[in-house]
Amino acid sequence: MWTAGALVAVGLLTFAAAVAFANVSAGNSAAFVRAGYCSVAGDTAPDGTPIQPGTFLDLTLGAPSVDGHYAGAVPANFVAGVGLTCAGPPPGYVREGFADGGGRQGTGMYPYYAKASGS
Amino acid sequence: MKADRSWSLFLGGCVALRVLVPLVVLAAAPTKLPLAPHYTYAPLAGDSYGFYHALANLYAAAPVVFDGWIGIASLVLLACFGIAGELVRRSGLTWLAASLWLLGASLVLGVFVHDMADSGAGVIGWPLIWAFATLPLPILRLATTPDHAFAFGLAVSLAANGFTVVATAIVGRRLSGRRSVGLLAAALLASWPLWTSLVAGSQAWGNGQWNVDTGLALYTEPVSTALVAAALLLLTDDRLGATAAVVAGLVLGFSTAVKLTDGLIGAAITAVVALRDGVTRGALVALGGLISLPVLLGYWSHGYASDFEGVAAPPGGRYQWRFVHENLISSTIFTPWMLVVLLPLAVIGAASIRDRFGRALLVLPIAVTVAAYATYYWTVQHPRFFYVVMPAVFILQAAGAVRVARSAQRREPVPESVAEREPGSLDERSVVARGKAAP
Repeated sequence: MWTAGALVAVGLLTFAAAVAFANVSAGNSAAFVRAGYCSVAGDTAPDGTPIQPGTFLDLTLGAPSVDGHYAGAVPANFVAGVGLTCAGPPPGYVREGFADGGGRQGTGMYPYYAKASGS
Repeated sequence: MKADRSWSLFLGGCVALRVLVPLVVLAAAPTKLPLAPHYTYAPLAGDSYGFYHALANLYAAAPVVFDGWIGIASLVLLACFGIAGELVRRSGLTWLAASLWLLGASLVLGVFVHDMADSGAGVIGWPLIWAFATLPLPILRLATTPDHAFAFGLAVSLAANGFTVVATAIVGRRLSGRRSVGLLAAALLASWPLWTSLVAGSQAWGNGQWNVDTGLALYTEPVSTALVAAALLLLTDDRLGATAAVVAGLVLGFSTAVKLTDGLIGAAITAVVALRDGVTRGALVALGGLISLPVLLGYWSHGYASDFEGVAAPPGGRYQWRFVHENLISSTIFTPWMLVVLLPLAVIGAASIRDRFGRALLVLPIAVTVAAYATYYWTVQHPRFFYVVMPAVFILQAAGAVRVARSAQRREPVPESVAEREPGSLDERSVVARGKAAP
């Protein structure tokens, strides 16, 4: 039992010393995915400047849920032949589910618009 | 033997229902199915963005934190605690060995989550589990995209929901002494996603609460509920030993890292165990609970302490007495009609469970959870806060329903099935202890 106690003490002291002196922080190692959003009324730049509704925002994924500057911002549209945009779809384009940032349908979070077949 | 087979078959059906409902809805999306909300696949929504960010940041932080002295010291710590644990295990103190092994890992995780970047996740327990489950992706050098991570997160959530159904059935059977109570409770929990809207209306699906319950939203609730159910499962086993008590505490402690208010449930359950089995056994549960403290404290500055929840708090703060009334009358799921459906039978059920400690294990978690959220501003739109105690509610409700049914049967005497009554159940023991005959 004494051996076990000594091992625990050695382990704790080694770990505590490393934590105290290594001073490691991975605070800048965020691996957020970036995503395109469109601003809504009330959104502001970090300095408080109002952002016009419908402005394209290049944010970290989910920023509108956690950053009050961009509260309510919605995912941009993916318009076939155009890409991510905050502009509405051109005439003759219809909504066809969702797409990812590369325009692949059936996945991702962007409302996907493509030219209606027959138009 | 036949009763065991029937029990297993019925329980298997309940688990299948609980797991298959969200899978069928996912497969049919975006087509709306009866009794389920309109669902369109999106890998992340609402709070799951924060959880996913935390997962991604854990992966990003790992090489930074562990590449150097902390990594070496972590290995030394794990080796020392591992060998020390093995030494005490050989001397018969399995509970202490388990505590040492788990504490070593918890200390390392505590420093790890402390040093990671902010993510927007209020708690780290669920992202940690999700990150461990998603490890095959980085190992196979596949991108941890939201779509890839969704599959792993959903699998964990569904497994948690399935486990909760089984735990609910067993705890219900143990505490009531009746198989029928366990099975009915499991059936109520498994079918809950299908009948919520029948009682509360389609508003029950609002704010993604259905997706949260079924696991499709990748929120904390399925795992949080499963962990509390696991603790009840361990603590209602009449062979509860010291090691099981520590593990039950560990489960409750980690559930606090998954959902902070589960800590109140843990404290209440620990108090019940101390009263039932003595202070020593209660202390073992508390010891197990404290093992997760490094993880909780390590993440504290990243979590709700710095989180503004995406929207401004109302004037006067998030907790106010005036919200009690609104939460009571305007909940999207726990409407007056839903409360009428749930509560009367649950009250009868609570009265019908004669073992007072068993009753307390069900009633106290409900009471502390209601107390924690009654004055909270966002409760009205987030009935999911109460999902963690739904297994306890359904066990009480099932006990009440069986009690009412048996009372009705007494007018037409029907011999009780031999298989129905569980010999040696908590309920039966308490009756024997009082020297009374079972009714």
